[in-house]
Amino acid sequence: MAKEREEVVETSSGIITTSVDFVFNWARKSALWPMTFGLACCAIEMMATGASRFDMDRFGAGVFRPSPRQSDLLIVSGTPTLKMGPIIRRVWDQMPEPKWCIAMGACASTGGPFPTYSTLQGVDRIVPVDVYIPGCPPRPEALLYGLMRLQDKIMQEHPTRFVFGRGSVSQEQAESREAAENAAV
Amino acid sequence: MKKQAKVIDVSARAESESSFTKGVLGPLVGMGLTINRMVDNLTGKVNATIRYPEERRAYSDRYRGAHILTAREDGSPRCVACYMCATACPADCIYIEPAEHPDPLIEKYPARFDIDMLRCVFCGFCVDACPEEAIIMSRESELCAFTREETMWDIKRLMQRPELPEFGLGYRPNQTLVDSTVKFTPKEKEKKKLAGRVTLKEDVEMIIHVTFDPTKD
Repeated sequence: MAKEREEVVETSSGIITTSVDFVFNWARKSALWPMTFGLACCAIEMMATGASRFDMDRFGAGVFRPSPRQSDLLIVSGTPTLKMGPIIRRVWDQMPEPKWCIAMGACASTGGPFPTYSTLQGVDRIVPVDVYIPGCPPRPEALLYGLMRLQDKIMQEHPTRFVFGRGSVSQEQAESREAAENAAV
Repeated sequence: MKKQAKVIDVSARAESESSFTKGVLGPLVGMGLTINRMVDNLTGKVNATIRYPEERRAYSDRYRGAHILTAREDGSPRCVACYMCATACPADCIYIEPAEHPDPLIEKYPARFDIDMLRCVFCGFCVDACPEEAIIMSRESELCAFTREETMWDIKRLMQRPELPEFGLGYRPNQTLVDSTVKFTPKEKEKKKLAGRVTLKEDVEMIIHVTFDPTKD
C-alpha cells in the first residue's frame, strides 16, 4: 500500500519536487497569519481563540495582521451584508498569494438565519472558501478544528508545480493521478 | 434656609493619611502579587491554556451541538414527519419529506430528513418543538467541511455516526425520555481536571436531575 502510493506520487511529481513541496507546505501551514477582519459576533469567538485560553498561536496562526498585504488567511467571521461584500472582496484581492479563506459560522457560510434582502447568502459567492465551520457562533475549539483541517488541506497542495512545471504530464493526467492518489488514501 | 454644605479639604486629608510606609510598601505589595502570579505562570502552577486537541473542555449537559434523531425499539426513526421542528426553525435548515407508515397508529415517517448544518444556528428550538422526543442534540461541535454539500446531513447520519459516543448527548427534553432510544451507547461523561484553577468551575453539574439511560428507558 505504502509502496504503491510512493510510486503514484513519484510518477506524478518526482521525488525532488515532492520534497520541496513538503517543505513549502510545512512552512505555509505553520505560519498562517490571519487577517484582522471581524464582521459580527463570530469575531468575538475568533478573538477568544486568539487569546490565552485557546491560544491560536500554538498552531502558528495567532499573528493577526492589520494589513491584508501581510496576511495569508481570511477568516470571514460574522454576517456578510451586501454592503460589506465589495469590501470583503477587496481585502481578499489585496492579500498576496498563497492565501486561504475560512468561512466561520452559519452567516458567513450560507447566510444562516438571515435569508433577507440585505445579507449575502454565503461568502463563497464572492471569495473562494476553503473550510466552512458550522456553528452560531462556532466555539473556539471548532475554529481550531477548522484551522487544523485547513492545515491538512495545505499539506495536500503542490506549490512547486508553478515553479518547475509538470514536465510532460498534462493537467488532466495530473488531476486524474491526484484523484487516484486521494482515493488510495 | 439651605443648609451649608460641609467643606472638605481633600489635599489636607490626603496629607494627613499618607505615610512613608504606605507610599513605599503599598506598591511593593501589589508588585509582589504580580510577581507571584508571574512565578505561578512560569512554573506551570497556573496554566490558562487548554491544549485543545489533546485536552478538551467539559461541556454542559445542555450543550447544543449537532442533532441526533432518536429511534424506536426496532431502530426505525421516532420522527413522525409532523413538520413542527421545520416550522419552529428560525434558519429554515430542516427539510422533511414524509411517507406513509404501514402502522396505522403512526401515520407518517420521514422518507427524507435533511439538516443543513451550515445554516443551522444550534438554537435548540427543534428539540423544544418536537412532540415525539424524536430530535435531540449532542455535544458534538467539531464539524467542519471543505464543501457545502458535505454539510447536508441525511437521516442516516443524524441517527448514527461513529464520533457520537465520544461526545455524548447534549440538549434534550428536561425529563426522562419515555420511549426514545439512541442508536449508540453513550460513554460516561468523564470529569477532567482542567487547566486554569482560578476561573473554571468544571465540576459543577448544570442539571443533575436529568436522567437519560437508553438501556433502561
